[in-house]
Amino acid sequence: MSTHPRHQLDAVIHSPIRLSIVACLAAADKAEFAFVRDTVEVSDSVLSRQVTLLTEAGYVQARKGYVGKRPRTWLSLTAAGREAYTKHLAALTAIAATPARVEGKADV
Amino acid sequence: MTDLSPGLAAAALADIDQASAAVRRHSRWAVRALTAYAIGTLIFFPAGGLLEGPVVSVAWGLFLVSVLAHVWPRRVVGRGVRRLYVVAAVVWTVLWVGLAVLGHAAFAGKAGYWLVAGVVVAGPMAVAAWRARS
Repeated sequence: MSTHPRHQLDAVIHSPIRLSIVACLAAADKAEFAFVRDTVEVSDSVLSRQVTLLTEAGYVQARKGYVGKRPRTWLSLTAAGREAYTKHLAALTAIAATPARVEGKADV
Repeated sequence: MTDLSPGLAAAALADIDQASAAVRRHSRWAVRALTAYAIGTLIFFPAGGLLEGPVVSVAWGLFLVSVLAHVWPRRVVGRGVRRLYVVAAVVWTVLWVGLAVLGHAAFAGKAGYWLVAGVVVAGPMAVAAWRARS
């Protein structure tokens, strides 16, 4: 069986938008939906869709609350999400450290 | 299984750094709030022990409300800040109550005691503020 780090990449987190969302939440205890939206630079609907996928995977928890009369949704990583992110990050780091194949030489 | 070139992996890591930096930048309010608590304690704990009347209590109340007003609308809580605050608040409360009771019982009117005790009580919030910086 191959030990290449790409086997450790998490298919759910692998999407660029979901990776940004998870990276944002990994640095926080909790973050407001609008903060994540602004940081990741996506629309409400896109973030909502991606958060639903992450929630269904058990990686993200969403809690609704109020600040004054304004409704707010707080997002946080679950323990499973944090563990998956740590493994994904380790795989990315290992792949980034892999020497890039030089196409010209490989064909010789 | 997913596949990824080293270049794309490096780009993904750069995106992660950017997201983490944004969270850290917007989490600095916690350092400011904890520092304010520490400085407020340095002022209000000795004042409460040495001065008579409701002025200190009212000023302390206004101070707490202003810190809460600063904290309440914040949109992100940095990693570990919640736990750091809870631990600091518990230690701070125990020290405040314990040293205030001791001070009123045995050191009433002695400025030296109240000033030193103020530094001790402010300690947990100062340490929490320092740790929240990293």
